Amino acid sequence: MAYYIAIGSSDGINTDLKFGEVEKFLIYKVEGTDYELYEKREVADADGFAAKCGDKNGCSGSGHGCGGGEEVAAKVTAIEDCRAVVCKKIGFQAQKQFEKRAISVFDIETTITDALDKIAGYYNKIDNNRSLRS
Amino acid sequence: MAKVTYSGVRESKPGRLNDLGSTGKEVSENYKKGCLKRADRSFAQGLQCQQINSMAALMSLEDSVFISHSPQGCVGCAIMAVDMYRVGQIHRGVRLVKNPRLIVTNIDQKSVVFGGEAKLREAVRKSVDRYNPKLAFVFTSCASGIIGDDIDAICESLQAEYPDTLLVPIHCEGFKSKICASGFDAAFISINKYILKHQKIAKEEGLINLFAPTTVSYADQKEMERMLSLLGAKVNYIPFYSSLEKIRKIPAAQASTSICKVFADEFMKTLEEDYDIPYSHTVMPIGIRNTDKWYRGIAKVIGKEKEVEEIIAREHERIEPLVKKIRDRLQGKRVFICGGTGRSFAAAALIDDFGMELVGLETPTYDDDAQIDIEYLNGIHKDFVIDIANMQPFEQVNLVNRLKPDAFIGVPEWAAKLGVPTTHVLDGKRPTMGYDGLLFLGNKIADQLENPGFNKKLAAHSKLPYKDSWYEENPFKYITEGGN
Repeated sequence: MAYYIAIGSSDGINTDLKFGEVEKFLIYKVEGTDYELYEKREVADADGFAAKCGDKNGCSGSGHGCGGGEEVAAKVTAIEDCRAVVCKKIGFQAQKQFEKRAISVFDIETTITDALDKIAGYYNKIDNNRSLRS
Repeated sequence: MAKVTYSGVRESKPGRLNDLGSTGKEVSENYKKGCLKRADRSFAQGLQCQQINSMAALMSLEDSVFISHSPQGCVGCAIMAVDMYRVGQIHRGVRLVKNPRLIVTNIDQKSVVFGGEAKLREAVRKSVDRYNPKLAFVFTSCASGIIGDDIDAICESLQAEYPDTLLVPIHCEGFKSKICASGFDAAFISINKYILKHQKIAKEEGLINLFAPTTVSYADQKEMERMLSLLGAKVNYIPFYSSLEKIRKIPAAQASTSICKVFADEFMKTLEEDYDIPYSHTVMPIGIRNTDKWYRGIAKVIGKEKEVEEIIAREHERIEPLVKKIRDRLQGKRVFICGGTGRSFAAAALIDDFGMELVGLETPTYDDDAQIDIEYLNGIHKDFVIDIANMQPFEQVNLVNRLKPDAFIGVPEWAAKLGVPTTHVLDGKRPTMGYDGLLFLGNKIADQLENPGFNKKLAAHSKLPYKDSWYEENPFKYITEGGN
């Protein structure tokens, strides 16, 4: 069955955005091991999330991050139909929120194709009860 | 044919079986005919895995860290070994009790998809920086084995950075074997490869390697050392409470023996091949007959056969009147035994000293050694059930409930809740072995039988999770031959 993966990317090639920095998630639709870009989903308004934090470069500024705030909740809810989310970094509070919704979190900096190949391959195996060793 | 290196998987040797429900007579006949097949269970409840045994075997080594490349839960089972280590230190008079330095890399979904090697490198670096140990063991797990993280390569590359710490990778993926004792072999294979390195060193006159499993108490250690010193031997007690230096001394020994039958038998074979150290492989020294046998075995290897007979005669004289007293208290009681392969058979022979009757035996593996014991037991006890099961409490409670033994000897977790008086034979804290251990154990069983209040009350206030209908079922319902 097809499912979606949300990716935080600035250039459409690398997973180079922190969760807090993402304004548009790239939503990929995955079927088996094939995937395609399904939509670009806006998750924060123009002077959105990062701006409120007072740190355009991410959430490291205050040391508290944006943890647990309403913005995080809204952002998590916006992609809660996805099975997994891939970003360069995802804070602890946001990870917990995803965990509650049974969404897998992969905080890794790599190329989108590498991430999707590996994640889709992994899900394909476990969904079809196939060993991960093969 | 090229020599095949032993992989540490016990099933790779012929005649090793697990998962079987039968009776003593039947199993021995079928084994003789070669009719026993390796089976499986269509339903199984828990399994002791290799990783835990590999870790437990080394946990008490001095100045070491243990890095488990696994999800967090995998090290949960190490709690028993940690407990043993802490209590063992107190018994040995250590005032500042230490915990083993146990570090887990916490493999999660991300590691499974993208690889966990970075986590392991970080864990090794951090633990060596923090503790600066002499030894650092890296254990694999099911998860790390499945994703194929190359721990050997990581250890080798990090070894160059840390010349003062010996990094030892141990391949103990839980799924490799259903015989949990394979974990000990995996640990010893790595010790041989990375610490001893097949180097022969000068022999030390009278030195004996005494391999002891996790569950040997300090009292037992002293008793074994006392018995061996009567033969004029010096004891190198490994791997429990030993150190890198003591492990390095292994090849200097004149002979080796093991307290547990299954603990170091494969390693002792390797020691004979690689370092010309003869070994004695007999039984576990529980009960008069087994202690005699064990004692004679090692005496023969070091050429002290005459001396040992004198000592045995002397010990018998001292101990037999005392055993008779216990026998009067225990005569004719029906017993169910559950324990590791070496120990359960040893315990079964022990109860003969006390005139008790065996009704059931649960043990994880069946092999040539077990066959010898079963033939011996068949000579004494006319009819008993045998359950070859690694754990599987559901079968045990069914059997115990069905057979209604007067006493249960072994791992008492579940039987205790059925109200049967239980005695722990895997007790790593009190004496069980040798001539003196026998007396302690006998009195313990007798005391339990005379005062079973704890178990009675426990049974009244606790409930096992099984439906009544399960107790009516065939206990071996879920065993499927041929592993389908």
